[in-house]
Amino acid sequence: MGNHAISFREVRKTYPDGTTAVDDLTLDVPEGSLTVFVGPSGCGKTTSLRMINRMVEPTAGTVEVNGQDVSTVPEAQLRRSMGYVMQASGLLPHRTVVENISTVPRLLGQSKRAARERAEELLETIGLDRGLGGRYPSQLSGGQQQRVGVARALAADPPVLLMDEPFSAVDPVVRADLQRELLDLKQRLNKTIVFVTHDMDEAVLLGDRVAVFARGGRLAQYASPEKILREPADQFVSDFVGRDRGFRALSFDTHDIPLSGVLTVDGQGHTAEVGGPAGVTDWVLEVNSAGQPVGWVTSTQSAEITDQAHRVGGSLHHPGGSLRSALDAALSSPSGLAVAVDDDGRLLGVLRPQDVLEAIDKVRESRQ
Amino acid sequence: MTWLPENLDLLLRLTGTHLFQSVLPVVLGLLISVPLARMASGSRWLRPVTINGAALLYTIPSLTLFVVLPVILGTRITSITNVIVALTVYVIAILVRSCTDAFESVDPAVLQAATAMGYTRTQRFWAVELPLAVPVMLAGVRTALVANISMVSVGAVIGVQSLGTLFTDGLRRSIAEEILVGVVVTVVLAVLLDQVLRLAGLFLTRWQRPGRVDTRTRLAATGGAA
Repeated sequence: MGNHAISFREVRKTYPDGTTAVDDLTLDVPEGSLTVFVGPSGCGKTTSLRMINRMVEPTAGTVEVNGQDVSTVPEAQLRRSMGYVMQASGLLPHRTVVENISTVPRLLGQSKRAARERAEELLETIGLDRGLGGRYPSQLSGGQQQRVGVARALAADPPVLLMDEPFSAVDPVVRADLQRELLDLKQRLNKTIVFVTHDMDEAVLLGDRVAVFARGGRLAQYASPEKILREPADQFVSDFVGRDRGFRALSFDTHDIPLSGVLTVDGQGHTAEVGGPAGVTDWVLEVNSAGQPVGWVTSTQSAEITDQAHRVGGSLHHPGGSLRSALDAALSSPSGLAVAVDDDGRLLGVLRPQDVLEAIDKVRESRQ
Repeated sequence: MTWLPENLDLLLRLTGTHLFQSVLPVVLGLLISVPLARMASGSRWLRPVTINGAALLYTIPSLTLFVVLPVILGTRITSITNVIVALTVYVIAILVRSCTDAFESVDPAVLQAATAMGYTRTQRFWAVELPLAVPVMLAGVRTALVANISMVSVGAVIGVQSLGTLFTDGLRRSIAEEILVGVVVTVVLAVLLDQVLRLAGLFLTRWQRPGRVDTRTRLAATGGAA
C-alpha cells in the first residue's frame, strides 16, 4: 500500500440539464485495497466509477490511474487495461462462456488458443466446472453468470478491477457466496478493486475503505468501515448507515467470553454435559453422533425425540469470532443460549446472554 | 400435359432469372438498410425521417415504378435493371423499419458491457450489435424475400422475363397448363427460399435457444481434434 492506484482530483460531473452527478470529488484509492463506493441511488457513485475507465467523461477535474491522467489514454486501450464487472453480468449472449471470458485477451491480440487456455484456467479459479465453458449465458444460473462476469474481468490480469453493483441481482444466499469468493480472490490476486453498492452491509463486509456518497454527488465520508459505523461524519451518514449501526459495529470487536455448560442428548437418548455443569434450564441441546448441534428440545420432550420435536437452532458462534456473531447467536437461539462450536462444527458449550453483554461492556470501557 | 415436357428449358431459364431478380434486391436492400437503420436507431430526428420515408416508399404502386424508372435511369423499358431497382426500393421500405427495430432490440446493458471491455465502436458493431440484431432483422428479410418473389412476376406485364412470363404468355395463348406451372413454381420457390432463410436464421441464432449445449464449441473447448 502507500501508493495510490486511483486518484480523483476535484472531479465534477454536471449534465447539460444542470443536474450535478458528482460534486468536487477528491479521493485516493490505495493500491491493493478494496474500496467501496456506497450511497443511495442518484448519489454519483456509479458515475464516479465510470469516470475511472472513461465510460463517463468528467466536466472538470482529473482522474489518475497509477499517476497517469486517464484522459490522455485512448478509451479502448484504457478499458482493456481494467477489469469491469457489472450488474446482471452483461455477458455477450451470443458468445459461449469461454468466448466471453476470452473477450479482453482477444481484443489485446492474444491468440485464440492462448485466450481459451487462460479462460479455462479461470473457470476453475472462480469455482465453475470446465464443462460449462461451451454453454451460452442463457444456460447458466444468475450466480454462475456473475462468476463468469468476474472471470471475464480477470482474464487479462488487470491491476485494477471496477465492479458496478455486481451482486445486486442475485439472491441473498448466492450473494453471500459471491462476496466470500471475492474476498478470497482479493487475498490471492492482489488487485486494486473499486466496488459500487447501495447496500451498507455489503460495503462493511467487503471494504477496506468505504466512501459514502450523498445525493447530489457529495462525498460525505471516506474512512474504514469501522470508523464509519462508530463515528459517522454527519447526520446523512448516520441516517444512511441505519439504526442497526451499533449492532453492526460489534462486527469489529472480539473478546473472550466464558463458556457455560449445557445438557445434551444424542439420537439414542443418551444425555451428557458439555462445556461444564449445565445451568438450570428446561432446554436440552440435541447433538448428532459427531458431536455437532442439531437443534434444541425442552427437557419434557427429550425422553422421546422425534424429528418434529426439536426446534431449529439459531446461528452458531465460533470462539474468537466477533461480538456481533456471539450476540446474534444468543438472540437467535430458542433457548436464549448462544451455541459455540469449533471449526469442525462440534459443540464446545454455550454462552449466556449476560456474559455476552458483559463482554460488550468491557470492550466499550477499554476503548474509552 | 404437353406444354411442360416441351418447355423444360424455358422453365429452368425463367426460374433462374426470377430467382436472380428476387434475391439481388434483398442483398442490395440489406446493404443500404443496415447502415441507415443503425444510424436511425436511437436518433431523435433521423429515426422518424427514415421510418416515415420508408413507409412512404412502400405506397408507390409497383407498376408505376416499373414504368417511371426507365425514364429516371435511362434504361430500356424491358431492362431487368428496372425490376432490380424497383424491388430494392421496396426491400428498403420493409427493411429500414425492421432493421431499426432490430438494433433497438439489443440489450443496452450488453452494449455497455462491450464498451467497458474495450471494444472500439467499429469492433462493437461487427462483433456485438450486428449478430444480436439478426433475430429481429431476419423476420424482415423473410417478409421482403417472399414479397419479392411474387412481385417479380409483375415485371412480365412490361416485358421483363420471369416466371410471370408464363402467366402472361399462357393467358395470351390460352395454355392453362403454362399458367398453372408458372403459379406452382412461383409458390414452391417462395416456400423453398423462406425455409432456407429460416434454417440460416436458426444457425445464426443458436445462442437464443437455451437447454441445448452447442456440441461444436464444446468439442473445440476440450481441444477435440476428431
